[in-house]
Order: sequence, then C-alpha cells, then structure tokens
Amino acid sequence: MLEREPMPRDIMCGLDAAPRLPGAMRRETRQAVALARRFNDLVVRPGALELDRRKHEEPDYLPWDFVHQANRWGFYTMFIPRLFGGQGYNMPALSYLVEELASACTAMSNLIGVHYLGVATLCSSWNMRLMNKIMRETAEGERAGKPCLISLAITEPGAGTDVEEVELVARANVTCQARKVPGGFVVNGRKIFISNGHLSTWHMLICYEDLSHPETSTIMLAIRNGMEGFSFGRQERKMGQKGCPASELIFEDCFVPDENVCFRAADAGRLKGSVEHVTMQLIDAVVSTSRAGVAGFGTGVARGAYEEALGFASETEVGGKLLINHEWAQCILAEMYKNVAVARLTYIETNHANGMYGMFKALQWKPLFYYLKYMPRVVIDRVLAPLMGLPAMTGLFRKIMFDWQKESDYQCTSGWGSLAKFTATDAGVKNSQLALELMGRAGLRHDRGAEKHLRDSKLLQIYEGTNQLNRLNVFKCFIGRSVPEARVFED
Amino acid sequence: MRSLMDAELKMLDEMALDFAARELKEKKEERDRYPYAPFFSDVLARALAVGFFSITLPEELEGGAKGAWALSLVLEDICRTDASLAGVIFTNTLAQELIMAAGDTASLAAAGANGVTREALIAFPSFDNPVENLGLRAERSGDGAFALTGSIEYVVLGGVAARALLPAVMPGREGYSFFLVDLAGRGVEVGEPVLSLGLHSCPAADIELDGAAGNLVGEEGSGAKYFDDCADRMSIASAAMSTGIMKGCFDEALEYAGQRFQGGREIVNWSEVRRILAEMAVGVTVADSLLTQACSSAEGDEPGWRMAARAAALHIQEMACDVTTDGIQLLGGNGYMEDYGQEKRFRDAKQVQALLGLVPVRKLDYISRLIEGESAY
Repeated sequence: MLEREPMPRDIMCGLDAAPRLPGAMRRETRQAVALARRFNDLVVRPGALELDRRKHEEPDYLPWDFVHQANRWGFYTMFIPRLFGGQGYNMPALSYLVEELASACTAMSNLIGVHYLGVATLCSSWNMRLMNKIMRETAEGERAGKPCLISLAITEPGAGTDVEEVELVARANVTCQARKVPGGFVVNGRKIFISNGHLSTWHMLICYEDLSHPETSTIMLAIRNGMEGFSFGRQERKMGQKGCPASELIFEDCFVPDENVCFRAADAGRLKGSVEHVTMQLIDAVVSTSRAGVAGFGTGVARGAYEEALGFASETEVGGKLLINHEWAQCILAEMYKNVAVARLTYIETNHANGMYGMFKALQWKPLFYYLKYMPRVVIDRVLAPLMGLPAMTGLFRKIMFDWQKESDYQCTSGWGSLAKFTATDAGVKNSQLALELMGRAGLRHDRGAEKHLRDSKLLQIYEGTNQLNRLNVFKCFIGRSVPEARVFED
Repeated sequence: MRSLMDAELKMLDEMALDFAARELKEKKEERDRYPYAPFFSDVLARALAVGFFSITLPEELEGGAKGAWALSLVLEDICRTDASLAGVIFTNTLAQELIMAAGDTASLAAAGANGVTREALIAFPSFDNPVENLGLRAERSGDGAFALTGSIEYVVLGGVAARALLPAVMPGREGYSFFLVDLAGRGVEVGEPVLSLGLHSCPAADIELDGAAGNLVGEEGSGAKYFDDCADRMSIASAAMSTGIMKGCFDEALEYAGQRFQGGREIVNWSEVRRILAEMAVGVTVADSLLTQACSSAEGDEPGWRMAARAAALHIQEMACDVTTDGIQLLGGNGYMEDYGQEKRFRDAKQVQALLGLVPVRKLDYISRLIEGESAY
C-alpha cells in the first residue's frame, strides 16, 4: 500500500525527520530569528525605504554601508559550517532568517540571503579545497571588516530558464565559454542579472567548454575580483528589490587557473552517473536548497504586506469605524495570514526533505552535527582544515553525495524545492496585491511601504527558475514518474 | 470597441493613436523617472493644444463637447503606450465634471483660455472617494468667501496645476462641499511630489492649508451628490485606462514570445506560454467588449448603465492587474527591467485600480445600490 502515489517519503518528510533532528537546531533557529528581528529594528526598517528611494534617484548606487553592517553582525558567516571557519548555524534556519528580513525589506534580505546561493553552489561541487579556501576568506573578511561575499553567475543574455535544466540547456543559446589551455581555462562571454554581483568578491561562474554541447560540458569556476579579463558591466534598472544590485559580469579572455575549477562535468567519469546525470544532480542540489531560501523571501514579503495592511486597518476609519472591525476586512486579513502560513509550511517541509535526502543530510546527522558544533575551533582549524586540501576528501564527499543519492531522493528534494518556491512567491505577490487593494491611496505611496512589497515580490516569481519552470519540475519529480507515457520538456 | 464607432469617434481614435506614437513612444523610461528626471511639460502643452484637457467640456467653454465614449477612447489609446498622460487627463476631467455637475461653469471658463497648461489643469484627489479623505475644514470668512484649514493627502497634479478642487467639511453641516483653491495663494503649502507605485508622470502631492481662500463650488454639503453623479461615468474612463494598459501589455508579450528562444525554439511555441498568452488575450477581448458596452450604454443613457459602468470598472481593473502580472512573467527577467514596458504597465495597472476609492468599499457600495433597488441590467 505504501508503494502507491503519493509516496510516504514525499508526504511525510517532516514526520520522518522530526525524531532525527538534533535538538540544538531548534535553539539555533530561535536564535537566528531573534537576531534577525533585532537587526530589522535597528538596521533594516530604519533604512529600507531610504535605500529604495535612493536607488530610484541614483540607479548606480551600491549599498556598501548596509553590507558592512551585515558583515559586522556576522550574517555572512552565520551559515558557513565551522569546518570552513563559519559560525555553523544549521542551513534550514536560513529560511526563517530570510523570512524575517524580507518581511521588512526583500532587497536587504537578498543582500544577505543571495550570498548563501553562492555558498550553496560552491558546496554543491563538494570541492573541499576550494570550499575551505573561499569560505575561510569570507570568515577572515568578517574579522577584518572587509565583506567577502560570494555570488552565483549563471544567467546569460540569451538563456535564463534554460540553464537550470540539463534537458533545456542542451538546446539553449548559451555563449559564455571556458576554453581549455595549458594550466587552466580562458573564459569569454557575459553573465547578466547576477544578484549581488558588484558587491561580491568571489563569483561561482557556470559556463560551458563546448557551446554546441553545453549539457555535457558544464564547468563551475571560482572567479575572484581582480582577475585579468574579468570586469563588471552595468547594474540593471529593476522594478523592485532595487537595493540589491543585479549585475552584468563580463569575461574577455579571462584566464582561470586549474586550481580554480570547482567542478568539471568532463571529470565526472569517476562517478557512477552519466555526465548529464551528475550535472543535473549538481543543479538540483543547489536549487533544492536555494529555492527553500527563495520561499523564505516569498513568505517574508507576503508577511510584510500583511503586516502593512494590518497596521493600516488598525488605524484607519472607513464608514465611521475602524477598518479592522469590518467583517470583510477581517476575512481579507485572515486570507493573507493563511497565505503566509501555507508559504512557510512549504519551505519547512522542503528543508526537512533536504535534511532527510539531500544536501543537509550529512550535516544534520547527530554525531557529525554535535562534533562540528562543539569541537574546539583550534582543533578544527589546525587538524581538520588542512585535510580539506587533500583530493581524497573531495573524492569521498562526491562519492557520498552523488553516487549514494538515489533517484527518489532528489525527486523528493527537488520537487519540494520547486513546490515551495512557486507557492511562497505566488503568495508574496498575492498578499502584496491584497494589501494595496485594502489600503487604496495609502498603499500607493512609497513612504508607506506597501507598494515596495508589490514591486519587490514580483521578481521572486521569476528568478531561481520561473514559476512555470518550477511547476514543470514538480510535474517531473512528483507526477510524471508514475505515468509511463509522460514526457517533460518535449512539448 | 472600434467596430461600433461612428466616423467622428474614428477620427478621434486615429488622432489619439497618432499623438501617442509621436509624443509618448520615445523616452518612456526617462519620463517615468520623475520626480528624479524633468517633468514632461512639453508633452502636456501639446496635449492641451490638441484638446485632450477639454474633451468633455461644452462648446461654450471651447471644449470638445464629447461624452464618455470619446474620453474613454483617448484614454485607452494613450494608455497603450504610456498611462501617465492618461492619469493627468483623467484627474483633470474628473475635476471638470464635478464642477459642471455643480453647475459652476463660470469657474471653468477662466481655465485654459490662454493656452497655459498649468492654468488649464485642476488638481484633485482622484484616488479617493472624497469621503475617505476629509482632512480639510472650511469656515466662512465673509462676503461669501471661505477659509480652508487642515491637510489633505495625495492631491493628484497638486504640484503641477494652478488650482485644486478640494473636499472640505463645514462645521455644523452634514456631508462635505467642494472648493476651488488657488494653489499659489496665501496659506497654501504644496508638498514635494509623492513617490508612488505607478503613473510617475502624473504626480500627487500632500497639501497643507492654513486659512487659504476657497471658492465654494455648487451648494454647501452637496459634494457627495456631485461625486456620485460623476463617478459612474468616470468609472468607465478608469476602465478604459486599464483596457489600454492591457492591450499594450499583450502586444508586447506576443511580440517578445515570437522573438525569444528557449530550449531551442521561440517561446511562443511552448504550450504553457501559449496558454498564458491565451488567458491574456481573453482578458483583453472581454475588457474591450465590456468597455464598448459600457460606453454605448452611457451614451444612450440606457437603463442600468450606471451600475454596468461600475461593475465593468471593477472587473476590468482586476483583470488588468492579472494580465500585467503575466505580461512580466512572459518576458522573464527582461520583463522586470525598466528597459522593457511591462514592469511599468504592472505598476500602472495597480495604480489605476485605486482610482475613485478603495476597491472593497467600491464593491460594497455597488451591492448596496443593488439591494436598494437600482437596476443592474
């Protein structure tokens, strides 16, 4: 009976995960939420509207002040494992954190959260040497007061949705190429819409060795600012999330040494799966976690819009009595509250899926979790860190994460990641629209904040795969597998 | 809408489309940066010259003496390209209609006679039912004049027009009255342009009055009567704005879908893209039909036209928000960028939905009128 759809593992992630969760995760998550709320009170809310207004006026302004503050508060190392010099908070708590921040300002939440998209991409390669090197530089940047953020550079002028699916990238119009030369690669091409690009020190660049066969020639390179042939182009003029720059990255005969290769599909021969299969596993690993984060943004903006509407209804009279005491307004507010709650539940379940079957599995295994949490830092830095440079470590972790992962594992994590992403981001847009309808003229004003939520929320339906692509992924992961006749991306 | 139009309306249609193509197609992004870029006074001056600010005024006031259909046609045509100018025309026309409903055409005779845009325009809080924005108090100051004191939010064209039509309450009297206020006069403080969601070139300002002189328009305490009388016809005009935005949005989405490639072929050849385009096309067609019917009924003063106008506005404005959301989605990341037109249409559609008051309250008013026996069809 339990082999039928819907499969128990897909509908009981939280139930299965609960008894295995280290108790300290609950304390850490509460700490993360409390920290975010303090940060919102002291930094985000006082500065959010002014940053947005300033970007209206000066589109090329870069929010370095905010980034320095976030760096001082420790947000850029919070979720980096202690093994790599970070504070080692559990990754599922990141969704709660970005929800809190996005409820006050989605752009500022992105200025922190998108750094972890770069971190997740780096980690999905399981290149332990580069993970250790780059993330320790972020930790050192925190100590030295020099923020060292990491971005993901994947979108190209002619290919957005395509680059997130191996089946689509095979037919895509990609142009960013890494050509093998002695000692490294020479990169040419452009990347666009790179969140935090201008503010980041490292960029996880996804490009292709053979442009006519990108599906078998994907390569992930670690690009550092200052490399010859690498430069920043323009900042996009976005409708919302203005405080978080969307950058153009330009590569003109940029030489990248072999030691900066995070992952090369052509080397996947040592792994069990085909090159395409391993590449898709890598992409799925990133998006299964990052889409839970985007769902956190969506939940946050949905909540921010709800809170603006609630505040307005509590102080505004319509027809001789407070709006909040009209039955119809109470029902609209309840609908908005429901949208937030349902959105949150989807990212919670996604994180449970990732803890059971995905990227967080090893880190949430109690012995390893407590070992890394309580092991004195000096031991980690002096004994464990040097081991990370050994190729065997990378080989071992790749074996575990790629070869040991079953198809049903990544169907569950990837499917939930997509479901959370489009559910929560649709909720964000819906609540922003409802808030404006409830608030009328007040909702239109920049100085009231509600209209900013609407502008900010719309981007969430587009990036990290459009919500249409994510719906197709849910079909692929959860629905199509039990219908032999079903084909995806073969319209 | 076009198949039912007479020759005069068709000429007006051609003229409005031509004006939009000549004056509004270029520099949309730059104009939309207001208040951080220059205001488009030159375009307004040319709109004044072709009569866009006097479409419904009677001939004796050198107006076009046209009805709701002509006004809607111009607004729709302009909104297909850039809705901000339509917002200016809408607000100004609403103020004129209120003054005419109050029978005070003398106040309008002075406006625009010398061809100066600022003097031709009348500011008004067009995103409110005035009953929701009564921060002003009016007291007699002798000789039939009134002194107005208090604050009023979000007066559209407040920083652009020479005069404003403002609602105010009078001590000891029920309801509210309208007053014409010289915005350059003593005791008037007009705030900076309010940065808003959409219609950036149709700016609003908060206004503080401290004993400012105001001329009563119509009868004391009759403001709500005048507003209700005009709001039905102006609902059609607001629906026309939403329809124009939808049409512009659909046209751009369809064109883009035929050019952009995904997975090795034009995105228009993916069936989910076609499904979304179909939803948009149905929305545009239904809006066009509803609008045409509303215009025709209003022109003919057919029974039930007022209720039909309100219902059409509520429905079309909501559809426009959905269509423009999909309009961005079909362009992906490009749709979110100011370089393309879709993000502005998304913002403008939501802004236009707020014209004439809170959406849920407008729905409740609608059903109240039905319950009270007014005919819907």
